[in-house]
Amino acid sequence: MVRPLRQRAEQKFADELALLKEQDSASKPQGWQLSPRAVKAFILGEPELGVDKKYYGEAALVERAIVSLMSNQGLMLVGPPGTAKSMLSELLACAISGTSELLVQGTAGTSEEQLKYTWNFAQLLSNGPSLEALVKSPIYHAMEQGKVARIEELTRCPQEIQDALISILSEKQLTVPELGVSIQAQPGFNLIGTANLADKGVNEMSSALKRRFNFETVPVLQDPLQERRLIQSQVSTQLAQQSVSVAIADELVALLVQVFNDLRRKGQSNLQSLEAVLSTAEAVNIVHACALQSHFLQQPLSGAHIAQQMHGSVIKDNVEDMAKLASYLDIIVRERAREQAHWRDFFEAGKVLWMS
Amino acid sequence: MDELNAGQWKQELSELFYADERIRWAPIRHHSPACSLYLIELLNTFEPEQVLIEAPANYLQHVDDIASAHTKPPIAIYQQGSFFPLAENSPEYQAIKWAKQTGAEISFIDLPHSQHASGEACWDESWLNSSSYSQQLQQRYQCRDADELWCRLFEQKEFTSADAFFFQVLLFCAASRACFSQAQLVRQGDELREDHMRAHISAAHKKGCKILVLTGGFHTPALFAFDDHRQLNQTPDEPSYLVRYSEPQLDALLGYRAGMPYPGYTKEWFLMRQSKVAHFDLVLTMLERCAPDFMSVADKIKAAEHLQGLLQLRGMNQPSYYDLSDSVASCWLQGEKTTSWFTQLQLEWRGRALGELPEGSVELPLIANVRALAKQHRLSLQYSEAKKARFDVFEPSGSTRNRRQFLFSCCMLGIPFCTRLVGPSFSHGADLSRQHEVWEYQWSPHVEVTLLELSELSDRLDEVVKKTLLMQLPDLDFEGRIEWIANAIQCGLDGLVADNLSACCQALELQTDLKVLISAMIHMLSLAKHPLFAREHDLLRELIEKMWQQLCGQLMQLNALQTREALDILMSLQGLCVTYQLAPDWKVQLQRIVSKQSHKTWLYYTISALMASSSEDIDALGHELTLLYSRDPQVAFDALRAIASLLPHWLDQQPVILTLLNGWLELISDEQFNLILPSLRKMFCRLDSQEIDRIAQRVQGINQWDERLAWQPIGISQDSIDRAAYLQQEMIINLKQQGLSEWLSD
Repeated sequence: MVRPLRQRAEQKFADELALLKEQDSASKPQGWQLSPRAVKAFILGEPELGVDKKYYGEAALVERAIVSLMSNQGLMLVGPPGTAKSMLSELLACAISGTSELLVQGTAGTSEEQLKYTWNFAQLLSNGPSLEALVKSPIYHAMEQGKVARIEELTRCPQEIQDALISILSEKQLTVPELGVSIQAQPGFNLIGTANLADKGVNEMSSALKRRFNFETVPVLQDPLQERRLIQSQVSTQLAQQSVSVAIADELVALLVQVFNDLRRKGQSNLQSLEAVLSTAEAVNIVHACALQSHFLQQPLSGAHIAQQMHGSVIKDNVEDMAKLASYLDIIVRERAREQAHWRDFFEAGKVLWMS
Repeated sequence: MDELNAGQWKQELSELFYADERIRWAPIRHHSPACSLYLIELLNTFEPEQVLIEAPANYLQHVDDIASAHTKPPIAIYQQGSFFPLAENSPEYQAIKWAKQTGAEISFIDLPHSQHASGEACWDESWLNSSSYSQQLQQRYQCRDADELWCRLFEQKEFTSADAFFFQVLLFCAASRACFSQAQLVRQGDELREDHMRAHISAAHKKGCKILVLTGGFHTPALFAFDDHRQLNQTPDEPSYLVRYSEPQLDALLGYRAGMPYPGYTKEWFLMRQSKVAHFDLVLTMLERCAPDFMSVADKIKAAEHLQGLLQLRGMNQPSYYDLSDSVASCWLQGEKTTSWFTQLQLEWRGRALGELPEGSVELPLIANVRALAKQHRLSLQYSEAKKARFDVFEPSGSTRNRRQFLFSCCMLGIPFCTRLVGPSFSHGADLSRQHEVWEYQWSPHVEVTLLELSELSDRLDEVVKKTLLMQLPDLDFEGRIEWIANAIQCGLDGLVADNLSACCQALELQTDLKVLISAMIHMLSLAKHPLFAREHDLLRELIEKMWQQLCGQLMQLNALQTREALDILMSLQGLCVTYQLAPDWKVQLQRIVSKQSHKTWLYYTISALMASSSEDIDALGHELTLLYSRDPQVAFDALRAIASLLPHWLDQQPVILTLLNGWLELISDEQFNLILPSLRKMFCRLDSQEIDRIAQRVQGINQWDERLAWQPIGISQDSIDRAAYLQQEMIINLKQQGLSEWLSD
């Protein structure tokens, strides 16, 4: 069987989930596949059981999120882009419900039908409204099966569409007036929403809907060491899936983490922060691309690759960001380049890209 | 606590801990509610006849006041710049209270404070918290910091007995201590202190009574090896004071390194647990206390359920502030409004209570006097939070004047009770038209400590102020004396100024520095002209007249000064005379200078320009400059530059000046022009854009240029120009608000 390009969390960590289920003797909330403690162990790791750590942020945040999902409240994960909100929601859904596939992607064009249900119009026209003609949304399925559904980028949906969730969250039921029926959510049902703080919208959720969610802000990783470990681990996994073997020097990852940290510090230094998103996810993409470049083009990895990939995948064509990076190179990197080879390569490549 | 089950080591510690039936060990963390609760249990079950406490021996004199029913923590013992604080939830406080109630003997077994190598830092818990052992446990239990770890290990758990609790504390502290070398302990001064403590334990042990040893857990492992033959040294008699303390000062998050975070919350937690409040009631009560008004019952239930779930997941019985804060944030934080409320909540948890001492017990008369004065001036001392007092300084009533005098006196004496936030600056003569003055004040233990130190002078604040000022006077130079006069007047001691005016005048006669004299003159004039000091006007006037005479007598020095310095002085004097209407006399003085001496050319023309009062005078001056220009263009330019520096608007208003400047610039080479460009720029910077525009038009006319002179910088974007216009508009509004409209007109 050909492995899909991207495995869902329940496929990727099937062994760990099975192990945890087997070992789990604690009481479970109704409809949950695992106990809250096992869910926590799945996400934060349990070395004694050989369960890997998957989320590198604050443990307390994960605990709060798990407890929120045990209650009648939905869980809303907000935060800057690339802070693993979607990954966390996927892990939570697969650990709690055994599946993370009940997903709605919120966009400006999301309609109420995508949140509730729509119709197979051929059947509707030939037979009239019936359960057979009903096309259920992932949320409809989650309610029926008592599972956790996810809505990505909820605040990108128009507010009137978002508000369709109010009755689902408060009444835990969904009415189909065309059939005169109302389905009631089974125990275990809940919603996880994610929202990007960089996008307009989070504050435009109606108060009524906000009240039905518990909010958790997922921050950027503050600990450089943790971030380095996370990048190394993520890139290694991605490369292994592609059967590519490249040794990535920790100094190079440290360089990238340092650059990102320098440029993230809004108001804390004389440097201007970039418009571009500088999340750990972006850092993973950069290192991954560098590794592929090194592997396929047979080039030894250097600081120059970091600068080039950073330009392509993060800075893109933003002229203002380039000017800020030129200033960063001039003020900060120039000094470091005098002493360290990786920084010198980064400086030279960056000079060509941003200072010319 | 599996890490602590290190077999042999645990066994050894256990044997030492339970070795003697007559001794109970209570290793604690300062201010820990759990330590206090289990200590009370241990005291009640063991009933020691003597309680040994880790506190400097010379603090023993305060135990009666500490244990008094009228005392309300937080309080602290103060000595030589350091505090030994006691909160309601401090084990030491509970032990003292218990001993006084039961008649048990109390001994303070630490070295006297003066012999501590590290001062207040000796009670620092950061050694305990920062050990690599603690850090490993933090990772293991996924705690955010050492305080959360402490809460999880000790505050949130139930133990079978007090001994079981203290033994676990001992294991934790011993493992933490083992992470530090002997050399580090010696450097910190712990070894000497522990030696002293062992001597005390030995002395108590010899008596044969039941003793309880209450010390920081970090020290306990070193105390087991006490020796019955050890001699106890005599304790020196060192003065220390019992003072009130505040909850914010106990907060570890604000830098008190022996504290726990959120002392207000910690105290409540202790009191509720002491009252045996049921667990769920405890949760509900805490949520009820922190819920804002806009939270509904449903919201509170939601948070209570969340908290229960969180405690269950974390395997805890009691909620710490970490858990409560987590649940409250999860359930209630949903936007900016709630974020600011959460910040308020954290302030509530920090607490704001100020301790109380028994009436008449220790409060020094000066502290009582200052408190009474503060109350008399309607300044609240109820809370330890900062408050503001606002005065209308243009229509000051008697009470306003007195209140201000009181606050100023405190400020002048360095009592950290108040600071002036907004108001006129008399020393610089700035903001004098400001209608209101705003002071911020806050009663705190530091205020009491400063008063303690000042008590040596007198029991009354006015006497302290007077004595302090009198002590300062002999050593002051002229500038210091001017400051002294200003301080005395602002403290309401005009009589003191009058008595010492002649001494100040003597210093004045010796003062020849023009800059110092001008600065002193501005200072005194600012006070004399201000309605707040109308009563002192006559007193100050005498001094000002003498200062003016002295100043005028020194004006001849101008010739000896560098051009820049002399111009600055002339500019200051010109401003002083315009502001304080001294112009007629000023002109007389200028005339006197011009007529008496030969001068540097530029100075002569500058003074002549200052004296010119009519267009005829200005034309005559222009004519003279033209003649000078024909003889010596460089000297003429220097004179012109000096005039333009002092009276920049002449460039716009007096065509002859501009014509001369233009002619001279035509003659000089490019190199010479580059050299003088900075001074030209400086000259024009003092003009506004309209004036420069008019000058540009005139220059165009004089030189008969066809094209309009583009004086505006090229290459500046429209955005920058718009931004500059906006900033200028904002500056105009600000200046008007500050009563400085005259700056805009000329």
